[in-house]
Amino acid sequence: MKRSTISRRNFLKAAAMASLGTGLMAGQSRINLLQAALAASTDYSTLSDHKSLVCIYLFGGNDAYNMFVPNTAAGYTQYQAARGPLAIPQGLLHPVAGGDYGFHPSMPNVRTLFDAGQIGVLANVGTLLEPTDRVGYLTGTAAIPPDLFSHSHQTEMWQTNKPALAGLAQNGWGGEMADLLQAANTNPQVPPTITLAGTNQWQSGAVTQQMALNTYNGAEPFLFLADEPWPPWESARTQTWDNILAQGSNHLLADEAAQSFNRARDQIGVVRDGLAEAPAITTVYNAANYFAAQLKIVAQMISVREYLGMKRQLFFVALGNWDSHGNQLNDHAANLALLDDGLASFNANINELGLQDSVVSFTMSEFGRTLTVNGDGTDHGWGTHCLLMGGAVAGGTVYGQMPTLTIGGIDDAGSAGRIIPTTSLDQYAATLGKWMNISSADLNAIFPNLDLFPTADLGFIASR
Amino acid sequence: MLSYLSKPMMLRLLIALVLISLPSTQAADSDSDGVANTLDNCTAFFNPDQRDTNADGYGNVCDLDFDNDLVVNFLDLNIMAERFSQSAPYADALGDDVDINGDGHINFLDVFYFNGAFLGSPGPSAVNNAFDAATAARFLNQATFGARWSEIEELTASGNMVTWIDNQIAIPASSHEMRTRTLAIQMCFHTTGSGIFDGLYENSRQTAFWEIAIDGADQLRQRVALALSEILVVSDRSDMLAASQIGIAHYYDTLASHAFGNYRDLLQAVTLHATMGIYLSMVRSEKPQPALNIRPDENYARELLQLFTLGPHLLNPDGSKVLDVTGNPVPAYTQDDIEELARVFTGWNYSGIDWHTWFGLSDRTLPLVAVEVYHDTDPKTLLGGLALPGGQTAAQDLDAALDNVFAHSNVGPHVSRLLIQRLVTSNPTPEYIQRVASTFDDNGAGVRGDLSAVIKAILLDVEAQHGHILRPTSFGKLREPLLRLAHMRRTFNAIPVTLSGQRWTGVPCGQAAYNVYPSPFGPLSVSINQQPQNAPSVFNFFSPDYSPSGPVRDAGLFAPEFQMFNTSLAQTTAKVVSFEIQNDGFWGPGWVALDVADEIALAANPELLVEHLNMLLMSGQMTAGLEAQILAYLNDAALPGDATRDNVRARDAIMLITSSPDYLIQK
Repeated sequence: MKRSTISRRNFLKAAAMASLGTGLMAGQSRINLLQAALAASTDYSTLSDHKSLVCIYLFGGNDAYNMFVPNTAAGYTQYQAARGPLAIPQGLLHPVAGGDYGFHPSMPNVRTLFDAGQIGVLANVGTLLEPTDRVGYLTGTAAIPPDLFSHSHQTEMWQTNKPALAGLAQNGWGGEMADLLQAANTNPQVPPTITLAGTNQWQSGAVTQQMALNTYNGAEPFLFLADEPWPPWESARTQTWDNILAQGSNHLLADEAAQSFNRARDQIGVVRDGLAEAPAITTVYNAANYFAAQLKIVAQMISVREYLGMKRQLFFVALGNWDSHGNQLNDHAANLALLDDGLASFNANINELGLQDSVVSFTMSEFGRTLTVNGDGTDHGWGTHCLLMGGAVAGGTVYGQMPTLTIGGIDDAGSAGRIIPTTSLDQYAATLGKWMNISSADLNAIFPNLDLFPTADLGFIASR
Repeated sequence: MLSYLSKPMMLRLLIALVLISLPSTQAADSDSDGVANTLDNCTAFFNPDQRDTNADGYGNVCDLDFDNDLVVNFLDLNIMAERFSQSAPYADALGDDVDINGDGHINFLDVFYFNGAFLGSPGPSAVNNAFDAATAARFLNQATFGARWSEIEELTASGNMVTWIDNQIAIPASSHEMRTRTLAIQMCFHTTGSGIFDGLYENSRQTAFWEIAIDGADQLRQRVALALSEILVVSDRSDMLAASQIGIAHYYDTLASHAFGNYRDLLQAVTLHATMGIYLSMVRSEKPQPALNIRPDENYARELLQLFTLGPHLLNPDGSKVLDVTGNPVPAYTQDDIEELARVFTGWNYSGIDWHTWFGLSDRTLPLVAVEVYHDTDPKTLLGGLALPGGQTAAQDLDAALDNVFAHSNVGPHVSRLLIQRLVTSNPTPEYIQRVASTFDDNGAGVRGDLSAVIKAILLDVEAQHGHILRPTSFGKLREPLLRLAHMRRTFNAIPVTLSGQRWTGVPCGQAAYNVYPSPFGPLSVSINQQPQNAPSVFNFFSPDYSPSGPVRDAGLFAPEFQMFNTSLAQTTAKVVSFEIQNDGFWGPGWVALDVADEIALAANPELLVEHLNMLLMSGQMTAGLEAQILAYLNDAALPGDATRDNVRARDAIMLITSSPDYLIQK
């Protein structure tokens, strides 16, 4: 049952009063900062169309050099020499139109979508502080991101575009975009940032707070504290919890818990109402694919964007287990199959909804992997290929620059085949941000190193 | 248990009085409250505020002589009894005097100060052996999965936390492996699984965890083992370990058996444990074959340094990062260090099977064994440039390398901070970290890495004991989902469900009945996203450096467990925990219930119920606002007026308390 309008209003009032309590100074200064920032930047409140970014994070470091493989005679020979026992047999690849490249045997759907122009590949992108080549890296003349090859630090840098220097977590570039774009949304109760894969740094914003949904029904009310008609005292019980939460706390962590509960209860009510309006679809998702289940809820949230008052949405979904130090041939194939299946279902779903031009999905992963082999797997690398999907993507094309896959070659950071990125994460993210209508000035504010790279627009978006 | 609460007030007060003795101390500040003994108006109790209502020079916490007849006796108890349950503002100054701890309420928290003071004289050192129940409850909730009332009473009576820890250290470790094996047979998995490829045993292992967490006598050891399992992580969420349940249970026992041992020995056991060998792919890592572009696996070498020992950046003794001239952290090791260490860790295989035999045929409770032909025997360079000569065996190289890593100055502050975060507070002061780290470096007898000394240093530190007063806006930590559930299940003696036959089908296989702890919302790995040894990765369920944006991060605070307190998990965790609190049989017999008979017995008097739960669940830290809300609710006319009223009162009081922000931050 829904929380009644009256109790929700009371609840909001209570929450507002609580926020005027202990968090007053900090909250007010943050609002002032935001207003100052907004005053100096674009007015996003006038955006009238709908656009959604879907970040697909591959936790652990995807071996993208085996996901998208050179397929020319010379290219494959070079690849095979570098990868040795982990090289995918050429005959098993799914060649793309023209035949220059092939997708991994587990990715027939992605190949089909690539050829249909709905998926593109961004080659060898990664964390960089400035354009960097082998000489610059080995001689120490190039500025190098700290803590390369570390899962946690490189994940943080991919998601926040900042080196993990401070110790404390930092805001993500998705969250910083959401802080700006939420002005376009008419319902402030629901944040632009929705995660189906738990708390993440990409969506951490100064003002917007990401909302986490589950993969079963999106959101559920708090059991026993949902103002249900039975038992007769649940109303009083729920009101008591309202009152307790409204008190807030002088303790910063306790107050964070109180405000988190308040936000959650409020958002859950609105989102449940919204999801109840989601249209029935005929697209079939593989029920055994946990990753696809996340995308199914994302599609539902996009389908009720108007009910929810959303013009700009940023979603986070994830697939884990990419850290293929051992048993890589089997594990990687299984993971790519999940990715392939999920992307295909989601693309079909979005097309069925007729929203293909307003949704762009893109992959990130903290690093690629060594071209060299450690026996039956690979270790942590640097640059990696990413996938882009959606009607707005000019698909069927490879963007960026394919690296030379040679151990100790011009793109190797050493002698293990840790490939130096030839395109910066900044450029990748800024291109996506530009599609979301983030202004050039604001992109430069979010990505302060952007000017150091040749272009802020990698060209993989077909239409604006 | 709790009998005193149902008897007349005076009797209840009397039973709370226990004479105890502690060795006196010559320290300049015996109670560590920042006021030297020579100036302190109460040297026996931590009272930095030096509150002294009647201005007689004796601080309130040392001055139970309310009638000023120079002896603490029944007359003073009477004065307290007359004012019991009153709240500030009090009618007269005596009220403020009787409110010994100055929290605005005259309640059991004040009564406990009579311990050791009875028939004595007031004065700065008069109560030099006193110990209050709140201290006992706070300590026990840091050191166990959840303090029970009887345990709070016992420790309050003994007043000796050192002895309590020593007693706990002496208790033999419960065995997760043995219980898992026994339960697997009773659940008839031995007839459906191979016993080697033991993926079915997950339910047996989880059940063993709950048995031991709830009923194990070795609470401190098991609590530390859980903390270690969140630092030295292996996880069955990985496909590679999903069918190594016996091995994982053995790994947990390894953590428990070393919980009061030496960290160097623990590192050795972890490094050579078959499940760690699988999880971080050290097992069967081979010497390089440059011609084939094959080199040793770097996985274990990297995470050993980054997560288990050094941390990524050079640390000062207080855990702060060493900064270079540009203000940036200094890496504690390089990629080259990792590659050298990866070469050290070559040539280790499962015990009892050939190098190329399928791993599923191995016994993953046995340590890895060296196979020298696969070991890299070339010279290597360890941390700090230490040269490791060529030609050594795999074991010689491994011993030397672990010695080298273990000796690094980062290990003390890095491991100390992580253990403090898991057991006490997300934001230890640098001084706290340094005190514990220095104990790690030297236990006082010249031994480095003595975990029993480290655990004592953590739990007995002034910050662990008084952090809620010293740092009232930041001390403590969010209770993680698993520990929220464990607190309820242990404190309220969770009532399991008894089954016989196959765990899911009930088909018998001639074995005895067994107990399980089922939740109607499915496996905890899904419903609360947390089970022991089920982390998403070696980086655990949450990062020690996580901080949510907003006031917490603006204040420079870490809040690791908040990574698991998002919209979805906050709701699902509350659902799982609250269901068990509310489970009075209405939903049938298939689910865990809690024993709240004592609380139901108290519920006729809401004030007594709330006071009791305040001490039991919140170590006496309930705010006046929270208490008022719950009392108002318990007296609400909407509650049933019949015999079911006290059942509703008891369960709803527990649920509302455990749903409150103040409870959720353990402090």
